[in-house]
Amino acid sequence: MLEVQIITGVISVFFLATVFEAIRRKKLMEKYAVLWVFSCLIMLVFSIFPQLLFKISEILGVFYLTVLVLFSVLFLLSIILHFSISLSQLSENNKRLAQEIGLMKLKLEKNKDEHKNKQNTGA
Amino acid sequence: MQSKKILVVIPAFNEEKSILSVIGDIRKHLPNVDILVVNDGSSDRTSEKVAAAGAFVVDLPCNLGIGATMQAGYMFAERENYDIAVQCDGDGQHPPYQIKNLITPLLEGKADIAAGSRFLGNFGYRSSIPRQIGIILFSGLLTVITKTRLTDPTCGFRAINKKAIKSFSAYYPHDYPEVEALVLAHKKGLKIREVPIRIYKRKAGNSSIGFFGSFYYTVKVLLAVFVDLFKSAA
Repeated sequence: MLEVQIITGVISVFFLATVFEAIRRKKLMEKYAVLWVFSCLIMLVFSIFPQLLFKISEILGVFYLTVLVLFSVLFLLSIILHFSISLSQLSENNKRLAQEIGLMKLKLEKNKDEHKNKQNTGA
Repeated sequence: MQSKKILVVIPAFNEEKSILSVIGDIRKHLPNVDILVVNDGSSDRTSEKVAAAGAFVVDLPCNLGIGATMQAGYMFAERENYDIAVQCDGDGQHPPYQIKNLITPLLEGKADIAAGSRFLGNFGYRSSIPRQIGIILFSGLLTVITKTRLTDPTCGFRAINKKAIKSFSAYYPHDYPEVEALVLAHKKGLKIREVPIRIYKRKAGNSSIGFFGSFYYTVKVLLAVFVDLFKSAA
C-alpha cells in the first residue's frame, strides 16, 4: 500500500510542479491553469488516501485497474497538458497579432487623413 | 501641468447606445484630452459611430476580451508618447467629470497608478452579495500584498502614468485583469493610490459577470494573484 502511495504521490506532485512552473513562466493561461491545478490536487488527494478510490470502486462496482490503463491515462494527461500550454502560447501570439492589426489600421487611417489635409491646403 | 499629454482609453464591446454620450461627456469636461476607443470586435455600429464623432478607434479584428483590449489601448498610448492613460468604461458607469480627480495624484507625482474606489467617500455604493464578498476578500489580500490600503481592487476606473503605461503595454493580464494588474504593478515597483469615485448605473448593457460568474471570477483571480507573486518579473 505504501509503495503505491509513494509512486502515485510522486507522479501527482510532478504534474502539479509542471503545471505551476508553466504558469509561472507565463506559458499556461490561468483559464486552463484553474482546471489543471484542481485536477492535480484531486490526484494528490487520491494518492495520499487510496482508501477513497476503493470506496468509489465499491460504489461503481469497478475493481481492476490494469497497469496498461494507468499508463494510458498518464500518457493522455501529459499530452493534454502539452496541448493546454500550446494553446496558451497560440492565443498569446494571436492576441498580439490582432492588437497590432488594430493599431496599424488606425495609423493608416490617420496617415490618410493627414495626406488628404495636405493635398487640400496645398491645392 | 496641463501640458501633459492625456489619453482616455474606452474599451468597447457592442456599446453603440452609450458610447457617444460618454465621448461627449469627456469632451465637455476635459477638452484637451485625446480619446481612443478600442473596439473589441463589436458586431454593432460602435466603430462607425465613434469614428464619425472624430475620436480615435482601434478595431480589433476579433473579440479578445477586456485584458487584451486595454492592453491595445496602452500600446497606443506608449507609441504615441502619452504621459497619462485613463481607463473609462463606455457604458456610462464611469462619469467623465471625475477623471480630473482621478489624474490629480499622477499630475502631482504622488503615484504611478490612480485607482478609483467606490467605497472611499460616502457615495453609498451597493453591489450584489457574492460580489461584495469577492471585493472584501480581494481588498484584504491586496492590502497585505501591496502594503497600501486598497478598498476596491476590482474597479476598472483608473489612470496610470508613463511608467505604468510602459509596463502594462508589455504585459497585461487576460480575463479579469483589474486585480491582477495591481499585483503586477506592485511587483514592478509602481506606486498605487486610491481615489474616491462615484459610479453610476449603466446606460445600456449588462455586466460581463453574472451570479455564477462571480464565483469563477473569485477562484480564478485568487489563483492568478497567488501565481503572480511567483511570476518572473520580466
